[in-house]
Formats: sequence, C-alpha cells, structure tokens
Amino acid sequence: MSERYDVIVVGAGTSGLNLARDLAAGGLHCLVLEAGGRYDRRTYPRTEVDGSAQLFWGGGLELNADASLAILRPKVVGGGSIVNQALMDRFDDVALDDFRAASGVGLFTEAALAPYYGRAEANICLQTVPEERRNGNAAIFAEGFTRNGYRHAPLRRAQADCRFEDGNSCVECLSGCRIDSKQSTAITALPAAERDGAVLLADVEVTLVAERPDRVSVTGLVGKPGGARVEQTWTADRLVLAAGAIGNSRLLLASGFGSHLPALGHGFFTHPQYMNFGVFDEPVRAHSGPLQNYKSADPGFRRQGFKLENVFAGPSSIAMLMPGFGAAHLALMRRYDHLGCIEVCVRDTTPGRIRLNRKGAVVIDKRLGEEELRRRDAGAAAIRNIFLSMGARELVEGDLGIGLHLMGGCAIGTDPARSVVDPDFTVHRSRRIHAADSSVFPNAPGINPALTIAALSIRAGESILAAAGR
Amino acid sequence: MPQQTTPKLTATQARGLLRLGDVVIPGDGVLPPFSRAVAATEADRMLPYLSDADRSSLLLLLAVCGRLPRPAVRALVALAAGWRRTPEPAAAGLRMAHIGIKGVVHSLYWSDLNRLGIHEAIGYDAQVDEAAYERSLGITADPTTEEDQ
Repeated sequence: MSERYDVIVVGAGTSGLNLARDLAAGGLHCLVLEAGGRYDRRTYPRTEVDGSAQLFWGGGLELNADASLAILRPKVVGGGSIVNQALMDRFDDVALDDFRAASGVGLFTEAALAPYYGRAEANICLQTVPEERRNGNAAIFAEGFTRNGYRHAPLRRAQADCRFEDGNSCVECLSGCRIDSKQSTAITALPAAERDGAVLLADVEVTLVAERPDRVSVTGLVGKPGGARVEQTWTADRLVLAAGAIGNSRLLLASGFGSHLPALGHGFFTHPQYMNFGVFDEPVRAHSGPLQNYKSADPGFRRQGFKLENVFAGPSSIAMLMPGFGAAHLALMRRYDHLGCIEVCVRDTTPGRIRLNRKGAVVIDKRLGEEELRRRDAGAAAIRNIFLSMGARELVEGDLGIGLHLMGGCAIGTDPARSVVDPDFTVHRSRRIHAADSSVFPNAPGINPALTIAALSIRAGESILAAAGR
Repeated sequence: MPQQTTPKLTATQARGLLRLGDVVIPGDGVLPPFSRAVAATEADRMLPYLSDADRSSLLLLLAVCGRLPRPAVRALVALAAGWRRTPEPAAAGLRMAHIGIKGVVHSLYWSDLNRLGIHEAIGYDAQVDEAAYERSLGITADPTTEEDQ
C-alpha cells in the first residue's frame, strides 16, 4: 500500500515549488512529481546540445501545428526558473485590467496583488544588472534607444551574485546556473519545502489524474528518458496542477475533464518572440558578461502591443535563428561576435488551443493573426531604427518565432463556460484539484510572467491551506 | 509495463546525418565541415529526449538522406529552407523539415563537442569560473582532479 499524501503537486517549476514550500510550511504532507530531471550547479549540462535535449520537452523544442513557432517548454526540477533570464517584473495596470475584464476576478488589481508580489520578491534576491558590467550589445541597445527617442529601463533580475569580476557570462547559465546566482525555485523554494517534509520525485511523467469523492489519484511513468519506465499511482487529498499551460491542459484533457470543462485547452498564448540581428564592424561580444541589462519602457511600444529585449544566446541557438544554410549561413556565423541582437516580444491577442490527437499527443493550434503580425513588424521596424542609428553594416531577421512564455489553457474566471479554474484556484466542479501557474492566465499580459506566477501561487497556497482546514 | 528502448543511428542514418550536415555546414578555410567536426554517433545523445513522433521522423529523414546522392540531399535542404516561396499549408511541412534539420545539425556542430576550435573561430569564449566561486565558499579543489586535468 503506497503512502497517502495530503497534497500532490504535479510540476516542480516556478508555481509548483512555491506552492510546495508554502503547503509544506502549512503542515501538509506534500509530494511533488516532476517529469524532468533534478540537477544542481555541478551537474547541469555543459553543452548547448545537452542543455537543449535534457532540460526541455521534445529534446529541445516543440512546434505548433503549422510549425510557425518553436515552443520552448522547460522539463527540469525548477522549470522555467532554471533556463530563463530571471526577469522579475510586476504586471502593470494595463495587464491587470485586461486580466480582470476577461476573468471577472477581483484579485487582479495592483493593490490586491501587492502583498503577494511582496512575498514573492522577499523569497528571492533581486538585483538590477550593474551598468558598469554591460556588454557591447547592451550598449547598442541603450544608445540606440536614446538616439531614436525610445525609452528604456534597467532590468531587475532574480540573481544573488553573478561574480562578473571573475569573467562570468550569463549565457552559460541558460542551461542552469553553475554558481547558484540565478534564483531558481530549485535553490530557493525546494530546500525550504524539503526541510518541511515535502518529497520530490523527479523523472516522473504524470499521465492521468482522477478525482474521487474522498481522494485524488495520480498515475505516472517513472524513469529516465531512454530507460525502462514503470507505471505507478499515488493518492492524496488534493492535487495541484503546476505543469504549465501545455502540461496542465494535456493532463486534464487526457483524464477526461474536457467533457465538462468547455474552455479547457482554449486561450493559449505564448508572447511570440523574434530575434533580430545587426552586424557591426567592431566586435560586440553580446555573449559576454550579463546577457541582458535593459528592457524597453516606451509607452508607445506598450500601446502598440510589443516590447523589445536586449538578448542573445549561445552559438547553437543563434545558428538555428540565422536564415539559410551552407556558405552564406557560415559567413554569418563567422561574425557571431560582431552581432548585436534585439528581440521583439509580441503581446499576442489571437488565442490558440491545446488539444490531443488520436494518439493522445499534444497538438498546439496557435496562429499569428493580422494584429500580431502588425505588432511584430512594428517591433522589427524599431529594431531596424536602433541598429541603423548605431551603424550596423547589415540587418538579419531571425528565421524562427519562439514561444517561451506559455500561458493559458486553464484560464481562471468566474464563468465555468469560459474558464477552467475558479477565483479560489480550484478547477470548476472540482473540490480537490487546483492550479495557479501560467495556465490560469486569461490572456497575454505582455510582461514577463515569472514573478506573477510566483505571486499567484502564494495566493493559491492560502486558499488550498484554508480548504484543507489549516 | 511500458518500456522504452533508445534507438541508435544505423549506418545508413549516420551516413545521412553526415551528408545532411555537410550541406548545411560545408566548412570554410577555418571552420571544418560538419562531417569532420561531428561523429555521427554523437546524435545518439539527443535521441532519448525526442518525442516518439519527432524521433521517427528524424530517423526516416536521415535514412532517406543516407540513400540519396549528395546533390539530392542538397536539393532537399534547399527546398526546406525555401519554405517562404511555398504556399500554405505545404509550407508548414517544409518549415517542419527545415527546423528539424537545423535543430540536429546546428546543435551538434556549434556545441563544439570535440573542442576543435569552433567556438574560438567565432569569438565565443563565454565561461563561468566555478573554481573561483567554490573558493569563495571555502571549498577547496580536489588535487587529484586538478592533476587529471
């Protein structure tokens, strides 16, 4: 007879581990199941090929149905907080007003969320990237913004000490931070959860969940990729789904919840991102030091529905994004350290849909509408202005759209016909299943979601503890 | 009980990968062509992590490339890379092939797995000084490990 838990959390990312910490601290016996592996600073993959393969679903990337977007979906203990750039912004009034209008949930105001944002921020170290450490790409971004009359602002990142004086480059930490500076939930929330008795099982791919009058059961395949996998079932009083927009939708659909949750899988958003490059005569060394210093803070950009980010990536990723093949592609890659790079991140408005095909595999129907294309092109035009004003010799548009902020599919709301999760973060018509991660977003905020996911998870933890009588 | 077994590239698939790779990355005076930088067996490290459907498609593509003459492989790569000239929905299939080809070839090559100076040739010298970090924590390096290096 297997042990029965108070709560099972599926997914050990930003939401799952924040919830596990709070639920364990509240006295609940907590089991966390994560499909990916558990690494630490000494064991993170050391090459780009291994980082992509081992830390993301699909061995690196998944594609939407028409292959217009490469979906990057983390699969590792710590989730997105392991592989992201740890940008931590609160949502503004624009995002929260739209959330409230779409969901009918009163929590989505700056005042109502402020205490939860405050607690989320208190759980991690937050720093502004030091100006004096900025690399050539950041300098191009800042100066180009100024020359064009655009407004930018320094970034606030979840980092403790990147030790740039040692010559460290954050691009290396896109496959996990090797000096524990990045404030992933694997080093912030997980140790606290485990101290309070939470149990984490990695390499468990949950395949089915079921709710009974007196319990929930969770079935999964245990084992590392490529090895033998064994099916196992766990039971608990409650279940928290924290497997992200695609993971939560897939799991509920596969478990038959679609029949009474008409909105399940609908309303999927990704903040489609397009990296654009300027080729400069002088070395830019965009890979060196802090990867990002600045973000756009231009009200005009916000109104137009996009933002620009000061980003870059390792050689394999940049090679993926460079158009063409053969000698021409190679010539561009030979200029790798002369590339400036700015990304346009689109606030998407056309909802996508997550569904399952006949074999039970996830299909992501997500297209860019005319409005998103207009936003992408407006952002690309601003990037051209920036690069040209800074003397770029050549401009190169990235070959591929990227979906990195995966949101929706289990939208929060008051109306069960249009949402999946109620204002107390409980699945409609359920008493025992909850969700609070990015899957509950009712639309795309146009702002990096990590801090808000953490804040919502802290708020959801209160509801779950109350429901459990704690 | 379900059990997964990880396939490895067959000889034909390995030949296909190297042919495909050399079309995508032919090398120049400084950078080696794909087939001199990457051992085909290194693709095996990726295979367990791919979805079943993606792995099947990839292995089929590599098997086909292993049987095609090099000009035909080049034509296939060019066709996929030219998806913008093709109307939808056919373009979607080409994009899928294009991304799949690039994903495998570029991941393996530009990771510079065999330390052939590929990173140096493009000016990539990013590093994280873990030893300095550990010294700051008061952790001393294992002398035998240092000697091994």
